[in-house]
Amino acid sequence: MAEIPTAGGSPSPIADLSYRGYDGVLEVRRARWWIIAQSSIRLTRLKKGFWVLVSLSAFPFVIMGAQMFFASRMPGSGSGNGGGLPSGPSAVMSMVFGATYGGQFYTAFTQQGFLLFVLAIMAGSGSIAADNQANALLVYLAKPITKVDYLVGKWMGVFLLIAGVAAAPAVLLYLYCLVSYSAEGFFSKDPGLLLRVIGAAAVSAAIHASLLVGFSAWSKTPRMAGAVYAGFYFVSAIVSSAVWGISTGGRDTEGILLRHLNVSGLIEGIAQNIYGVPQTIVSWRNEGLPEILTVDPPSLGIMLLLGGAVSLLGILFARAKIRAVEVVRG
Amino acid sequence: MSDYFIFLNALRDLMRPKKLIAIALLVALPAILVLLMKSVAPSGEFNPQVVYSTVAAGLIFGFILVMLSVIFGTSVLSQEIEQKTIAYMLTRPVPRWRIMLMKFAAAFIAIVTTVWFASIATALAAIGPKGLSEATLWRDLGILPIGALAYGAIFLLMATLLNRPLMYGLMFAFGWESWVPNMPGSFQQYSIMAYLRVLAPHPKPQSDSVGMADLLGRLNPQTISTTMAWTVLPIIIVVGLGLALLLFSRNEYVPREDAE
Amino acid sequence: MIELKNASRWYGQVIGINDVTCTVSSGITALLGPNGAGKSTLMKMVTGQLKPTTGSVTVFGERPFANPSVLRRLGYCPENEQLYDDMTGTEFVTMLGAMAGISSERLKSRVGEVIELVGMSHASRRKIGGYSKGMRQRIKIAQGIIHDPKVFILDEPLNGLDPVGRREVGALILSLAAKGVVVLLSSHILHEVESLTSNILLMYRGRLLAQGSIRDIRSHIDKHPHRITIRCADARPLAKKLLDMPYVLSAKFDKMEASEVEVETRAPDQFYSHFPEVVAEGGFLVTGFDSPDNNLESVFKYLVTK
Repeated sequence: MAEIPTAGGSPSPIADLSYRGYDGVLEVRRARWWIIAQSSIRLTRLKKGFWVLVSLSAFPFVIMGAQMFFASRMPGSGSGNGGGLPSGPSAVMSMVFGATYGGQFYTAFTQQGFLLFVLAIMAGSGSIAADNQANALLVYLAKPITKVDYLVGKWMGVFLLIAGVAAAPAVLLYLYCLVSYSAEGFFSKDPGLLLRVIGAAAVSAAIHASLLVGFSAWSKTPRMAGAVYAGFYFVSAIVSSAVWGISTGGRDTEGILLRHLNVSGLIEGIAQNIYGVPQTIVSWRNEGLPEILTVDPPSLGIMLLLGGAVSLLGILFARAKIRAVEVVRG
Repeated sequence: MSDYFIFLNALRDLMRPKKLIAIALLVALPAILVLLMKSVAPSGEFNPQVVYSTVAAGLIFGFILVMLSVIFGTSVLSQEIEQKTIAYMLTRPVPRWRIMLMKFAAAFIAIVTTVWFASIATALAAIGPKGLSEATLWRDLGILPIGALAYGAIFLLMATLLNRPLMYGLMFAFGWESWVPNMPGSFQQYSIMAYLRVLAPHPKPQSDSVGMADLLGRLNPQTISTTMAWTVLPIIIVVGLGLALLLFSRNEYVPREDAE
Repeated sequence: MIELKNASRWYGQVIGINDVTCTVSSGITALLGPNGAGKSTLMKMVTGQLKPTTGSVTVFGERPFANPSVLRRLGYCPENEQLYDDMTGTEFVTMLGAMAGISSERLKSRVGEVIELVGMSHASRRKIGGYSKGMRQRIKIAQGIIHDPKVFILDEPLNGLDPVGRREVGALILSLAAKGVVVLLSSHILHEVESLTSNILLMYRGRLLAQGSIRDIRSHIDKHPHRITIRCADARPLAKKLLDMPYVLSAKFDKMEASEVEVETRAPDQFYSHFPEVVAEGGFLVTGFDSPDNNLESVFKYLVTK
């Protein structure tokens, strides 16, 4: 017969249903931020919209995979052009997007960019703003966790989600290519492609997560944080494009760095360097058909410096705002 | 009386100091960019009409109008639900459709005022005082409210149907509306921006480098006539707004966490 | 005035209200129950924010959902504390007063009246964002009564109020009821509710567990004998006499002093009618008389925990 827990440990046929104190060990966890990150991830995973965006984000890679599949089945397809890309009907696309597997992956990554931005808003706009709204910071910071634990947890919660969503379809496509096109030099010609795929996804996630925790910390509602980040994202793109146009007179091959001085530009600029693909520009300068121009990607050093600075700024902004006080406005 | 108060309070909420600063920045942004272009362009190369046209198409129609419509259009309902103040609205003896219509009217006024000021400031910056007599400006001032109504109605409808209208609104505004107007054949007829471009055409300068969306746009001929645009946009407004008002009158809007 | 007939409300697969039938027609009625019992759902159905999934909810004989004719005569003070933080108290009450249909000529003076009535005159020009919980509660009540409703629904109106505030709000609710307003309020603070009304609706896990006066409900709980405590100089002989009564089940003394006896009975009414007779006949000196089972707390405990 099972032993019934009793008050004071004395044997009794009546179960002790009174309050039982915790008599285990109270340990200080090393990765305290992980508890907060886990909670953020769990909350986002429960949203239907998240899965809609996950599906949509995979779409560019699915299309790319389908395109490769059909191209490789066309008569006369083989090890083809450049870095082992199957030739055939994809020739026009290859011309536009780059003739290497890295180029194809990069193209799908840029097509995914807008969806990752929307996903970032969904996962990150409420990360701290929702706590501000509910005054939940008081509860969090009353636990044995520091402000840094909280911030790292929130940041990781957003970062891991975006990085996961960005990387998962790319890694799946990579595995498909590995199985199907290794004979055509898929792996041997670019052994580091998997790392490039993961690296580019991480960059995108890191920049979005850093900026969003900053905006979220300064907002009272997730909606406000999302709206302000969306505004920042688009206005920065418009301004950098305009400044580029003004300073170069619209000359396509000039001012590449200026064109990347915005959120999506920074992400794409760094990713382009990671993938090691040139910048292709579709120009309509001449009458008739568009012209495809190829220029070097923006300097990796400057891109990393700017991306790092923007990310750091976002995190520092968030850190300055995280306080364990109930904000009452008069 | 009650309508006036709903409208006034909604408008006051949209004109709070923080929001006014953001609106002022949006009004000033295109004009500042035009002034920058003007200051660095070699003499003789600055074509005021082309610059106004480019900025109006890309920034005012393509960004400010759409962005404000997403934010203000969805906030008509979402903000009340998010703040959990919707209970005060829904328990007053005012027909629900009138509450929503008044709040939508306030959002519409805020959007139109912003885009009008932005257009006028841009015309003044590009063309100078003579810019106010430009036919293109006056045509834009006439079409922008139609755009605000059409986009506003769609985003309001999204707010009555979806839990996270801002997110889906952004996807529609900057995903769908960037690509679909440039799609071949009759596909472009599924975009509000395509109709607005027909009513307020802004030719693009030839020397531009273009993205994929624009590239498609240049390859595909426009299939929408002016008559069609004048027919479809009012239908979008009436149907979108009507459906939103109907749904708001019939559906339940209670903050989810309140549900026991 | 308020009538629910077999009303049920589902949230997906979770049931909020389960086949509730009840009527609230006059005075103050307290809606009691632990968290998740369905109190707020019931109030949201009565105030026309939610529709019943099955069954019917009527107020003044009409369905309240989005029905201005019902809402014109109904006041509602929601539970949550979130308000329009950028508005002042006066602006908030004015807006909702105007929406309730108060004419522009009367609006300003009426706003002043209700704000004064809830004791918020000193802070009405401050932004709500800076209000304490108690102040929010008061301003919420002000907006609920501005249009002089016939039915006033209050969801946890005593939450966040200090003891003085509770007393004041309690007095306000009593005065409204005295004027003929039908009040339905929910609360967790049982002893405060008890001072306002003895008429309750007790809910538990979406079901209506009991309705009526506390005493009536208590008298129907035959599983639990009714306890009565009597303080007397010498309680033993009194206890002996009381045990002779057929409906007295037991008698228990307070420690060794025997100055207090607690008897248990299944027929409290009969006990109360014969008790003075027994005291007079025996010449006992009774100094105190109390029934711990007659209060709301014990009824609540009995019904909910069993």
